[in-house]
Amino acid sequence: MQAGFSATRQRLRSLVAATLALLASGCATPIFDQARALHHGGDSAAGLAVLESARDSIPDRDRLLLLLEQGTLALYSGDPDAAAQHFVAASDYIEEHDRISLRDETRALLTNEATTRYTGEANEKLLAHTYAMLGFLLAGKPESAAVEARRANKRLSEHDDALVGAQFTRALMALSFEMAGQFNDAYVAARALPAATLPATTKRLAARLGSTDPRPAVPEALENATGSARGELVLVVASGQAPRKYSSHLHNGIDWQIAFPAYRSRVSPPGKLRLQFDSGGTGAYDAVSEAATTDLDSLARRALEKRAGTLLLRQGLRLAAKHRLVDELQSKDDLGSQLLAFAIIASEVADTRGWYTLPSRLELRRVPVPPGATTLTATVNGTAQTIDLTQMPFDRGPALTLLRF
Amino acid sequence: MFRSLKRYVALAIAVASLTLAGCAATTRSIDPTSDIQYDAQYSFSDKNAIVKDLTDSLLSRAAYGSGETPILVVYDVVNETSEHISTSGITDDIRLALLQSGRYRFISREQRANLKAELAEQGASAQREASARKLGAQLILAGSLRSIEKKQPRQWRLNRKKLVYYSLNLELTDIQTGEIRWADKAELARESSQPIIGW
Repeated sequence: MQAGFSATRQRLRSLVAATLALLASGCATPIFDQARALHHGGDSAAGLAVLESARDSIPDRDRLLLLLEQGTLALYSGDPDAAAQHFVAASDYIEEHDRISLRDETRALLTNEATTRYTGEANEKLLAHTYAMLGFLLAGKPESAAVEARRANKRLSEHDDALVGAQFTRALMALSFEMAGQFNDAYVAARALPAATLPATTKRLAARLGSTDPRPAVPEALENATGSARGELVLVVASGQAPRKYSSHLHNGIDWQIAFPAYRSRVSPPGKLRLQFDSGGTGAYDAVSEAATTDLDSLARRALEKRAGTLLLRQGLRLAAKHRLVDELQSKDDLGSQLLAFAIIASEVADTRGWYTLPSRLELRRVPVPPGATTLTATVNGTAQTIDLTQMPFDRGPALTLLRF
Repeated sequence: MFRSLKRYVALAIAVASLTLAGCAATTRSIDPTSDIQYDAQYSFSDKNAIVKDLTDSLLSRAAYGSGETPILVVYDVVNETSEHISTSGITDDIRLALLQSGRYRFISREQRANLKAELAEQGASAQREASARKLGAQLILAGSLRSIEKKQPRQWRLNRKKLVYYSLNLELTDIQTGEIRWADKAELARESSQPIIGW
C-alpha cells in the first residue's frame, strides 16, 4: 500500500516536473534547438532566420544565449561584421549584468537556477571575445579585433584557473595585434603561449621589435618553409560540436531532490587536421605549419568544475528553504497544498543552458605558402575542403580563412 | 470597514501612480559641451575636452613662417583602448578646429581615400608618408588613444570600483625632413563605482 502510494507520488512529481520545466524554459529552448539543429546540419543561414523571426518571443533572461547563437550563425552565414557586433553586444551584456540580482536570487531560491538571467560560463565569456576578434578580422577591421584582444586578455586574467588551455584565443590575440600593426602587444600575446606553439611567429615579431626571442629555435622545416614562402595563410578550423549539459539528480525518492548541471561523457573527439598543398602537376604534398589548438570540450568542463563550489552552496540554501516550505505544506490536508509541495520539490532541475553552436575544437594554423602552390586541401575525419590560393592577396599580410568540419 | 477598504484602494492607486510615473520614458535636450558621465567609460564629453586641449596646444606652439599655411593630412587616431571607440570623431573635430583657425589647409577625405586605395593595390598601404607626399602635403598629424583600466581586487564588498586612465597622444611630423614639429598629450582619469547587488 505504502509502495503504491510512493509510486503514485513519483509519477505525479514527474508530471509536475515536466510541466514546470516547460514553463521555466519560457518555450525558448525549442527555438534554440531548432536553430542549432539547422546549423549542425550545415544550414546556418536558416538557423539564423529562425532566431531572427523568434527574437521577440525569447525571454529576456536568455538574451545572452540569443546574442551568442546569432553571432555564430551570422559568422557561418558569411556575415562576419554582423557576427562581431552580436558578440560585442553579448560581452557588453555580460559586463552589464555582472552583479547579484535580488530578483533572480529570490526566484532561484524557490524554483531553480534555470529561471535566472543567463550570464555565461567563464569559457563562454572568453569565447565571446574570441569570436568577436575572428569576426572583425574576417570583416577587415583589425583595429576592432585588437580592442577585443585586449578585452579577452582581461578575461583571461580574471579566470586564469578556469581558462588554462585557451591557446587558440591567445594565438588569435597575437594575430589581431599583428594585423592592427600593434607589434609590441602581438609579441606579448605570442610569448604567453607555450614555447612550441607559434615559434616562427614569435621569432618574427621579436625581430620586428629589434630583439631576439630567447626561447627554443624554430624547427628547421618550418624555418625553411617560412623563409621561402610567398605569403602566409592563417586557417581557423572549427571541428566537432560543443558538449551539452544535462541535469544530474540526487533524491531520496519522495521528499527532496537536488540537481546539478553536468556534461555528458565525451564521444570521440574530432580527428587530426591534415593540410596538403597542390601545385598542379607535381602532386599533393604535406604543408608545414605552426598551430595553436583549444579543446573547447575540456575548457567547458573545467569552467563548470571551477563553479562547483558556488553551485553547491546555492543548492544547499535552496534545499533548506524548500524543505521548510514543503514541510509546512505537507502538514496540511488539502489537495492544493499537497500539489504545491510536489511542485516545489519537482521544480528542482539544473540549469542546462549553454552556447551550443560552438565546436568542440578550435585550431589556428599559420601556414607559409610555398611559391607555385595553387590549392590547399584541409582534411578532418575523411572530409576534405579545398582552398584556392591563386586569388589570395598575400602581399597585404596574412590571409585569413575560416573552415568548419 | 468599507471606509478602511477605500483608504487601502486609494493608497494602492497612489503607490501605483508614483511607480508608473518613475518608469515613464522621458527625453530632454542637453548641452553638448556640458560634462556628463554615467560611468567611467569614454564619452563625448571626454572627446570634446581632449580635442580642445590638443588643438589649443597645437595652435599656440607649432610655429611657421609668416603667411605660410601648410597643407596638413590628419590620419585616423589609432584606438589602443579596450573599448570600441570611433576615433574618426576625434580627427574630424581636430581637422575642423584647425581649418577654422586659418593656419592650415587640408585635402578632402575623398581624395585621401582614393589615394589610399591606389597605394593599397600597389602593396604600400602602410606608407603614410608616401601617400601624404603624393597629395602635396607638408605635414602629417597622427596619434593614438590609449587606456589603462584597473579593477578593485576580489574581496568582500558592496561596490565594485574601477579606475580608467585615457591618454591621447598626437604628433605633427614634417614630411620632408622627418622632424617632429609638435607633440603633446591630453589625459583624463576617472573612477567609477557600481553596486554588486541590485534588483
